Amino acid sequence: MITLLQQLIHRAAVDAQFRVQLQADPCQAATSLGLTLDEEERSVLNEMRKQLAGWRFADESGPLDPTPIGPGWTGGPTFTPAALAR
Amino acid sequence: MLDAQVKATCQLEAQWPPVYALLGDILAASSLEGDYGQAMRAVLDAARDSEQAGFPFSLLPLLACRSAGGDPRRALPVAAAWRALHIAAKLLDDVEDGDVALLSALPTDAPRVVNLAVGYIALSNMALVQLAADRDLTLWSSLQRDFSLAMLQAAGGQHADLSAREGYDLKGYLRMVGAKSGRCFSLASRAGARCATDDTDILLRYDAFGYNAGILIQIADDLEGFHAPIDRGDLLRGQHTLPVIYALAVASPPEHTRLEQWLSQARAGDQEAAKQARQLMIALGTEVYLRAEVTRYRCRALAALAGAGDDERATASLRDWLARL
Repeated sequence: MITLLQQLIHRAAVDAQFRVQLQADPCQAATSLGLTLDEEERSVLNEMRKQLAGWRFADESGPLDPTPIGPGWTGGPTFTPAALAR
Repeated sequence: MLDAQVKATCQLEAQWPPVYALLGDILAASSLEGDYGQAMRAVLDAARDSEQAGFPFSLLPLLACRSAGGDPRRALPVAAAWRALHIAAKLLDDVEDGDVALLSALPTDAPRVVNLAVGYIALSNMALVQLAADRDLTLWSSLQRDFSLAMLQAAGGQHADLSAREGYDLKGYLRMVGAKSGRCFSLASRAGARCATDDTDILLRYDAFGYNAGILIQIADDLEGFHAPIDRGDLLRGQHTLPVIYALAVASPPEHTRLEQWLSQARAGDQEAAKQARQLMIALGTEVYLRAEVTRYRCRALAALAGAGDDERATASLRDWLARL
């Protein structure tokens, strides 16, 4: 079972023209595939339109961003090394 | 405007060191002798350093209390108890995920880490018991039950995770992450707000804020694991996280076969296969999809806050906290 969001993003990944459409107008892009966005999907994709750096695929991405979701994130702490120190 | 933002951030930062001071005081008063006391202290120092350098987890109960109209100082035992429980969960997770085995070859290390986690569960109870002296005599008993129930639910989520590592679909993944991470952070938010109010409708909003923030944190962790250098990333460790679930769901049959093969080789330690798997996953839109899910849960958390405070200013610090993720 593939969700609508997964379907649209996968299509954007493999079809550069659709990607441009999705970034310009998510509702219209979904409609062109015969799909209808609900309110939450519409607001997620509208938010995503503002995050241009987030639209990275292998063909245009270059090096991976080491801090993908902004400053302050460290990948979650793990304290086991301290627990094992002698 | 910039000055105001800097000032607000400094005010945030000033609030979490007392959490560690309280836990340190309880440890000191417990007169633990020998290696065990030293190891408990070392873990506490590592947790404090981790928050200082990274994300301020311990602030959540304090900010929720303030946002709901209370004095954050009243929520200090709650924040300390929650952080101790969070540390215990992280230690147990490292044992159960096999990370202890990766870090050390000594057969006694995993049992030692489990024993430290037990210590942190006890420390959590000792921090929470300080609420027995609160002016509201019902606060301690209600939160004690809330903490115990959340711990049981998180253990249930971990059990499901350990039982079904190979077989998640998106629905199963979100159920597991909701039980593990969502419930953990909903406790932090709800228990902090409970120090300010017992209004059920308001508490439900803080519960929903924490729950969605917890799921967001786990998805962000998955994204971080996907980005990590290949030799330390999730693909080589055989973790079936959201990137793998998405990529296997959308891949065409030939891509699916190739990806399964590379993932299997990666689990056996083949770094080149892990690299190839990651390249294909990026090409399938994995990174974009995870960012979209992060955005979804951020929107849900923020929506839960609407109506939780009397005005925008009341919830601003929680929105700032979330924005740092």
